[in-house]
Amino acid sequence: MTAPRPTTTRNLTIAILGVVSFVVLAAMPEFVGQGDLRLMIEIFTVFAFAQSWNFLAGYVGLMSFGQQLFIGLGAYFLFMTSNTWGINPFFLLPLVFVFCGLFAALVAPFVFRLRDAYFAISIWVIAEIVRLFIAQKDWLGSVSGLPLVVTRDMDRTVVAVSTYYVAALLAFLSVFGLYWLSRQKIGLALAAVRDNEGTAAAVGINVWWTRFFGFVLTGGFAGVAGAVYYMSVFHVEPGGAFDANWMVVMLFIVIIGGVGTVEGPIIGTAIYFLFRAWFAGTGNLYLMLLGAAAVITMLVASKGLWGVVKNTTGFEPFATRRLPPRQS
Amino acid sequence: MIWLETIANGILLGGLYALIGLGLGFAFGVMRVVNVAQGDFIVAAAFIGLYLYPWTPIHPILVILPVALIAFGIGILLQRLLINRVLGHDQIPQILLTFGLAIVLRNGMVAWFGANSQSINVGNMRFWGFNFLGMRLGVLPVVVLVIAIVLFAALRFWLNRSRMGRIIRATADDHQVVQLLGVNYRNVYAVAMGLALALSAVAGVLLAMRGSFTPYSGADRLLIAFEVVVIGGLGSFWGMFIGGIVLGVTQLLALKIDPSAGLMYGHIVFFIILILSPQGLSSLFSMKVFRK
Repeated sequence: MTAPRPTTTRNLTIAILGVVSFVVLAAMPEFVGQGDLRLMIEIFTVFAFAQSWNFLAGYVGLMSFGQQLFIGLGAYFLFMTSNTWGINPFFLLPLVFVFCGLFAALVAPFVFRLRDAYFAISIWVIAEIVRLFIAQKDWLGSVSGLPLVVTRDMDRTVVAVSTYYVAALLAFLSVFGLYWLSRQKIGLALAAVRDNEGTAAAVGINVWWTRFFGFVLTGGFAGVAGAVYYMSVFHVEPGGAFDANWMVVMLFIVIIGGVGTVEGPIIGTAIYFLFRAWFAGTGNLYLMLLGAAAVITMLVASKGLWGVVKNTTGFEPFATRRLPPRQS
Repeated sequence: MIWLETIANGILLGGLYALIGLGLGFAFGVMRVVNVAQGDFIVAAAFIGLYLYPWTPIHPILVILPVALIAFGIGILLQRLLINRVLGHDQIPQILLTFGLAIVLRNGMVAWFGANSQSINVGNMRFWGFNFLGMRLGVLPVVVLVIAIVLFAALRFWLNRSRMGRIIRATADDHQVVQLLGVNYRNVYAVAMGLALALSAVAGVLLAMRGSFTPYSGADRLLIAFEVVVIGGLGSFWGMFIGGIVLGVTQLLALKIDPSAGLMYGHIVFFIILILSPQGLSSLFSMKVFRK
């Protein structure tokens, strides 16, 4: 006699969660005002940034301190192409994904020669090169940046609602897409490479290409999220788009929530925006708090808040482990 | 001639860059720990120097001694209280821990000292110069280079000849096996981190004497340190020195050609070297202190 496969009920839970959040996200613009919609766009894109870094660090096993590279690249690519050819920026988003993915693919062979912190910082160096380059070139707007021209003549409400839908889609993908991906063959390969390179290679996984896939995917995704973020503010400048403080935000969200989990960064994002609302006026104190919280989490609970929740309640809707059939 | 003078000044600056990298490279060589907060510790050391130099007897440049001592103490505490707790096969926790620390340190310094640009005043020495082979060189940069070379040589000599140096090298080779010989590797790590921060602190104070700094300078300092270590080939001593000089010369030449470039060309040269020679320039030298 065989016990019911536990994954079936789990798939059902995920499906229900997916449908419910899809409906809630889709209906949101009907119920919230213009200002709240702006905030939602920001929350969703920042969440997408955090998930892109979480995917890289927690699923691919590559830690980067230069994820702002892709945020800035995506934003600049979108602004430049849209302004130059007068194209509606929404149609350009797939191209942003391709461009940022290609950029990641180009640098990967070189940065992959370095490991751990050296890999992490080498991407930061690339972000700095791109930032300094853009800040010098007048045709890229130099230090003062670029405005987004095309959306000026469009209906403000339409732009806001469309941007919201794209941001919501990104947030949706960074939960359910990430879950789906981690259950695929490539997701399992990624997990194997992250946990033990040698063993992964021994069971026939191509370590280099698996990492490459993860790196390119996260680069493209972060690029699109960056493009959407700056689309919603209509202006981009190198100091802000390539700001290392983006890294601080992503790290905080992911570390507090729990690295390598789908759920953790959701909690992390909520805490981050609450923190920001409470301490925003305090300037540096607020950044210090973010840093200190990250240090304390690393010392006390390195799996983050979600790790604590998971261990105490056993609740784990987005589990990627396959449970063994129950013995009867 | 102006180009020769620029290159000479670049070499002088490069010695200091090498010293910035030495702390990071040494810590990595011994513990496989990359202290991402190194840049911000360098800036913190500069602030300590800024407050101590008015009380320094004989000459302001001697302020590097008390600052190095304080940094040594901070390094031991840092390793004992924080980094030793997250050591393990996985490097991610300690890197994230030091990253968090860097954020706290940087913003704490902004809150405490303000974001203004500061500099340590070494009096008239700043303006002294001399003629050498037709070039006009500053006395202070030469003194700084000499200090850097002395520290490099002293650290190498100490590691090779002293009992503690032997213990550190053994721990770097295998921190498990040294325990069989009665060495507590955590204590060795604490000493090594103390030394790493002391070296960085000296570099920080000297840098603050040659130029200016703000609480935000830490990120650039960290990138320089990191590039020096990678160009030199991870863990190679004199490779790091060459790495520093490559960066120093590049930066000053680039500033002559394109004054608004900042560190961009230094970053680009680093990247080109990474592409051409993944092992760093140290593959050209075989004097390695630490096994890879």
